[in-house]
Amino acid sequence: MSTVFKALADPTRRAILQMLKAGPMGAGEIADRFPISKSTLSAHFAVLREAGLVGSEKNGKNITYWLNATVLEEALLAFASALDLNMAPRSAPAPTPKPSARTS
Amino acid sequence: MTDTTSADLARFYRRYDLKQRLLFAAALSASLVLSAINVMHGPLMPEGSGAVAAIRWFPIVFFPLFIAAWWGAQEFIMRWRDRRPAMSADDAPNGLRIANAGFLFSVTWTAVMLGSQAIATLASFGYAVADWIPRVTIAAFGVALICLGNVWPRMPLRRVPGRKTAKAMKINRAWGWLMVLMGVGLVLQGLGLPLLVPLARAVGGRG
Repeated sequence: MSTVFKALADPTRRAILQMLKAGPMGAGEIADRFPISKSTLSAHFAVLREAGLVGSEKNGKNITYWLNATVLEEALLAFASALDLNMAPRSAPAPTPKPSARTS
Repeated sequence: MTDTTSADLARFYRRYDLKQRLLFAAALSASLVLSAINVMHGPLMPEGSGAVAAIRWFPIVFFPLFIAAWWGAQEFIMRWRDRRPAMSADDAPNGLRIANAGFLFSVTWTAVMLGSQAIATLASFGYAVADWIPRVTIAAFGVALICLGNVWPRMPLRRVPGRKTAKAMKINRAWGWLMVLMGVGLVLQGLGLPLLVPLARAVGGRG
């Protein structure tokens, strides 16, 4: 289940899953809709596949992806999308400035 | 022509079909035994009372007929599945999960049917049952329905881009949601809400 949460934590991956709700799509068709490199998209697909949220089938040079979510996973996706949750690890917070020495 | 490795699930499905057939044969036999007990030893009803006669004959006829019909439907599904091409490597785990959830559903459902028939048979002899029995029965059925409905959208299909596949996937998703919502409703009914009279009577309670 932790892999599912990890997969749903990212807005791009959620957008991919929302797109696949309409039906199976080719990798190229999906890539055209995102302004990110193919290697980044490929990494997103790897995470989604590991979580079992998408399935894929290779047809010659084309790869077709489809939504493979259960009802519970789809409910979690809707919940995360509705709240626009971004559970991805944040960058380290900026160091807090040291309290300035009191001058008297 | 796809490059994806096909998974051979023939052995799994042979065992699975055998398990299903044994389950339904056992359930139907038990149901017919209960019907026979009711016919031979049940209380005699006064002549000319249609409603009373219906109450008397309902558990005798309905339950074995329903189990036989369900078994027939399962046989139809087995034949339909055997004609389909081998599943892709990604769909094989989906097929296994749906089959296992389906078997859990069949076991729970036949247990509910037999339990209901036993309770109805006891009722025809004048024994009343505690209300918690139909409640637990309804809740257990609800849990099995949730398990099956949850994995239903993963039903293996020929996954190619196109309107036909997209429509089939949407229908499977809608069925899954419907089953889960019905299951949740049944669990709530069983655990806390006031029992709906027809539902309680369907599983042998007083409602």
